[in-house]
Amino acid sequence: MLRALWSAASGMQAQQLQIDTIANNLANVNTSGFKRGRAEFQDLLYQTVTAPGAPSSVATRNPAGIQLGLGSRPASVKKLFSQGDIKKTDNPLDLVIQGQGFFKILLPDGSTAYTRDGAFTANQDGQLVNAQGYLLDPPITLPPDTLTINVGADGTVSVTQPGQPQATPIGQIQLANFVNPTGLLSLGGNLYQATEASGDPIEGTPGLDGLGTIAQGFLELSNVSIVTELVDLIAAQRAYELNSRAVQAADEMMQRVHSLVR
Amino acid sequence: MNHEVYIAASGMRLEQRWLEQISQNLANVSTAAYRPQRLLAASHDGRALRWPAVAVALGGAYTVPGTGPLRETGRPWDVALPEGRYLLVRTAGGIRLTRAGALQLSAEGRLTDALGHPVLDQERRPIEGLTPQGRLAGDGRVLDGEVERARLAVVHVEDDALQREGDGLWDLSEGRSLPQPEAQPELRVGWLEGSATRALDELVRLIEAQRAFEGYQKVLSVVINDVNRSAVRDLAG
Repeated sequence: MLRALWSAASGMQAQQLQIDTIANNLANVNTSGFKRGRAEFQDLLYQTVTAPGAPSSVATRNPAGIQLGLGSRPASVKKLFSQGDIKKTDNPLDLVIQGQGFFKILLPDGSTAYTRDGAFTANQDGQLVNAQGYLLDPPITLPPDTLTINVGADGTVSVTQPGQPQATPIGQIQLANFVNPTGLLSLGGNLYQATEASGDPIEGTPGLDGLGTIAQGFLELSNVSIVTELVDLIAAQRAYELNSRAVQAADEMMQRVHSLVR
Repeated sequence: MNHEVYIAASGMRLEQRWLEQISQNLANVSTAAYRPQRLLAASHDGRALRWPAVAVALGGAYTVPGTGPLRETGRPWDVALPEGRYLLVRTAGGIRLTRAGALQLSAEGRLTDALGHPVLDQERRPIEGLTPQGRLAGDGRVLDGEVERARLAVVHVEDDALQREGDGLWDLSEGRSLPQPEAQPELRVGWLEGSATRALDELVRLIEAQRAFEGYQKVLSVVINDVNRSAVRDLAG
C-alpha cells in the first residue's frame, strides 16, 4: 500500500519538475537567444515479486514473473538547441548565428562563457560587449571616429572612417561549438559554461567546419513555442491530478482497513 | 476463525497490489517510451491447507501491447522505434535493451542514452568519434557529415522475453538470447515516443480496484463485527 503512495508521490514530483521547466520556458519566450528546456523522466527500479522463469508448478515455469515498479524519477532537463526565429532589428551590432555555434564572452573573472544572444553594444572604450557589459572574445574595439560598421558572414568586422573610401578591417569574430551542447551549464543571463559533459570548445571561423554564418542587423528569438508549452502545461496539470487521485485512493483504502475494527 | 475472513483478506491484498501497479503506470505518464504493466489474478486453491476455500492471489503480470504516442521534436539525436524494437546499450551489468530514444553525445563524441550508457552498433561496440556534425539516418546509419561511422543495433524482441530494470532499461529473461540486429531498421529520427500509459484506462481500473476493495471490506466487516459477535452472544447468552 505504501508503495502505491510513494509511486504516486514520485509521479507528482515529476510533474512539478515538468511545470517548473514549462514555466521557465514561457517566462523566456521573449529572451533573445534563449533555448527551451525539456524535462525527461525514467521509471524507477522494480521489486521482483515472482522472478520470471520461477516454477509455477512441478512441470511449468512462470513465463513473465511479477515485477512491481516504484514510480518515476527525473532523468534530465535537456536544452534543445534548435534555431530560433530571426528578427530584423537594423541595429548594426545585433548579430545572429545562422546554424551551429556560440559567441565567446570573457567573464570578469577571466573565464570564458558562451552565448547565442548576439545583442552587442559598444562600451565607453569602443569595445564590443554583451548586454551585461562583458567583453566579446576575441575583443573588437571600434575606432572613435567610426561611421559605419560592417560584419561579414564569416565574422570579419570592418569599419568606415571619415576621409577613407575603403572599409578598414578591425577584427574577426570567432565562434565555438561543442560535441554535446546539451551538456553546457546554464549560468543565467543567456550565458553557458563548458563542462566535462559538453566537451572542450571547438573554435573556428563562422561558416567553416560546420559552424553557422553570421548575419548583421538581426537577432535570434527564443525557440520557445507558446502553443507547445501550453499544451504541455495542460498535460502536466492533468497528470498531476491523476497521480493525486492515486494517492487519494491509497489513503481511502487504508481508512477502510482501519474502520474494520469498531 | 471462519475461512471467509481469509478469502476476503486475500482479495483486499490483491486489490492493493492492483492499486500499486496503477500508481506506477500513472507516475510514468511522462516517461519516454514507458510501457504500462498489468497484473493478473489467479484463484488460489486452499484445499492443500485443508480449507474448503478458494482465495485469490497474484497470478502474473504482462506488459500492455502497443507503443506510446509519437511527438516531433526536431532534435537530431531523438529517435522513435517501431513496435517491438529495442536499441542496445552497455551498462555496468552488461548489455541492456531500451526504447527511450532521447540519445545524446558525450564530451568524447560517444553516442549514449539519456543516462550516459553507450549505445551499441551491430557488432555490439560503442559508437565513438562523432563530431557536432554527427546525425542519425532513418535506416539506422550513424553519419558524421555524409560519412557513415556505424550502424545502430536495433533488435526485435517479444514482450515475454523481457524483464524490467527501471531507468527505461529492459533485460532478457532467463534462458533467452539476444537476437541478431535488423539489417534495415526503420527509425523515425527527430521524433520521440511518449509514455504508453493511457490515463483513462488507468483511472477506470483505479476506481474498479477501490470499489472491489470496499466490497471485500464490507464482507470482512460483516463477518468480524456482526456474525462472530452475535454467535458469541447467542451461544454464551
